[in-house]
Amino acid sequence: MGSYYSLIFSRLFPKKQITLLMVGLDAAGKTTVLYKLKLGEVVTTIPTIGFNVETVEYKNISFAVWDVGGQSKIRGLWKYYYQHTEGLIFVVDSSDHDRIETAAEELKAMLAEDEMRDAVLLVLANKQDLPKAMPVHELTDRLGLHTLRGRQWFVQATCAVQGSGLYEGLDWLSDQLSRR
Amino acid sequence: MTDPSKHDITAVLKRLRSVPTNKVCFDCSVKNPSWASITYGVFLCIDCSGTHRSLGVHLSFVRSTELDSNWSWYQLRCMQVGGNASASAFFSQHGCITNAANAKYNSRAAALYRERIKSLATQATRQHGTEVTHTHTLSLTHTRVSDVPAGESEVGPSVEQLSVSPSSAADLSSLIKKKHTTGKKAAGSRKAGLGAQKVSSQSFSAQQKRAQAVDRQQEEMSPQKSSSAEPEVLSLSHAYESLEVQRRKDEVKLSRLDSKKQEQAERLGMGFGGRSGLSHSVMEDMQIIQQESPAPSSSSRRVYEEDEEQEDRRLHHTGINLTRVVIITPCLCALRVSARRKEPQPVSDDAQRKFANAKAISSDMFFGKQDNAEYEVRARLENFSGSSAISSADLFDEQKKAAGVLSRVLPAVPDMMQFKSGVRSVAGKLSGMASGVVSSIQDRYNT
Repeated sequence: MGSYYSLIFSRLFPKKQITLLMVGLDAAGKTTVLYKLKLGEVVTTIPTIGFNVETVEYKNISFAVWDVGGQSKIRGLWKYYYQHTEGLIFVVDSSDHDRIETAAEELKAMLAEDEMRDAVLLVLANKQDLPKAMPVHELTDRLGLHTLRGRQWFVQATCAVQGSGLYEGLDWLSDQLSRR
Repeated sequence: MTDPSKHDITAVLKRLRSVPTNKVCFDCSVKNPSWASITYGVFLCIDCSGTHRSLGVHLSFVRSTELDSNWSWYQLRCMQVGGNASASAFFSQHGCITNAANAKYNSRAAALYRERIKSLATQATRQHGTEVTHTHTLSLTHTRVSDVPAGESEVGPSVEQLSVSPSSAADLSSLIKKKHTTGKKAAGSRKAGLGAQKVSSQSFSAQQKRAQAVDRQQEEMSPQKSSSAEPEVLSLSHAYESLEVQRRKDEVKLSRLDSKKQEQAERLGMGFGGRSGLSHSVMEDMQIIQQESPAPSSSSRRVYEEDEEQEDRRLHHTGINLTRVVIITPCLCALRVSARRKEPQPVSDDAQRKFANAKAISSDMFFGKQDNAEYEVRARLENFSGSSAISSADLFDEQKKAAGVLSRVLPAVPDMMQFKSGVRSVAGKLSGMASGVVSSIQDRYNT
């Protein structure tokens, strides 16, 4: 009987499906973010060769999150995931000062793609718990987001191992994408 | 410095990975590791690379030898001066025998080894630059000297310095009294240490020869340089020349000490890498100062001439000199960076897009306004320095910002929208049902 009601409920309130692509440089914490959202716990990860995909239910929205490996040789594969992507999650290691320029270049190149013109951009400034982590206003500047007009973007400070900031980011995404 | 080509990277890494000690994971001894921690110059398996990545880049920076194509020369030098054998020797002799990654890489031994690799790699990068032939020629000598493990003798000078460390390390460990005699591992490390020393005696003479060759080259080069310079600057350039010659003499002297007295060598050897790394920056940055404030640099020259005999004091003076240079250079760098950052903005494709359809462009339109906008955005960005999230709406548009605030005040907005759409679908379904009933009734009455 309960399942019957839930069936009726799901018929009456159909879940919105949203496809998200999660990219970023290697060791930014993409896989940790994904499984923190999916399982609510920190898993021991190894470098992703290929991709992980999980559906995350949040606020009556079903997010299909694609987490793609970030090593320089396999960044060329990102483009095959662009199609039907409504939201882009770009994960940055805030404590990695040396490679923030590389991250900015990758982000810029990706946003220039035609298939990504309508995608909203969520930047997760990850690893905020580590020493010398850059704050969000510095990241906004160094990623060149302050010059990025005509696109909805949001920079959120996160710490995937503590789980802080992740749902704030999803809140913004669901807010933006349900307006459409 | 230009980045190494793909061929160079694969060649260097392939040879390093062919070293027997590099054929097992540094942490867990799994065979054929294909990942590397540049911070320690060691090779790791994929599982241990995951552990290293979780430590953060300040403790360990991990790259793949197969999936990363953009290695820099510095990173390759890190791997060359490092290696699993020297790292395990260093760790065990500093009494760090734990296998727990967190404790191991947060230890003092790890911090010391990080610094060592850093200074040695900087030195190697400076010495050999983008020299691919260096590795190639060395690889040729390897094939001849077959009993010496390849790679260890690859970067001769650096290995020589590393070979000094075990003795000092032994002293230290005896001080701490954390001696460990777990048969197999200790034996292995001792063996590795001996191997490295054997190499060091060979490579020392090679290094000396190279240093002398560089000296000669430098002497040949410098008159040309000074002749091309303006006559006023001539004396100054001589000053730097003599400085450089002195520095080189120092280096040779220090390295001689290295081979003779191990204790002193250790003491100076620790400073040696760092000092030469810094003195390099002196030589680089002095030319900048030369143009701006010639007076202090000439006085420093006098200082150098007076203190030629007393090595310690001279070192002290370079120290003073260094601090001044070091203070000045960040300012210059900052200026340069800010100039670089601000200049390209107006000429960006943003502007091109903006003015694509315009029939006339005034300088005001092109530079003034956009600059102002840029400045405003930056200034506004400063306001967000305390916040943990920034959105495009916040930064660019006040109106949108108001909407954003509203949505924050009413957190249930998406839920409301969901509810609305739900109600709409219910209404649709009800109306569909009603029309179905009506039509069925009509059908019945019609028949």
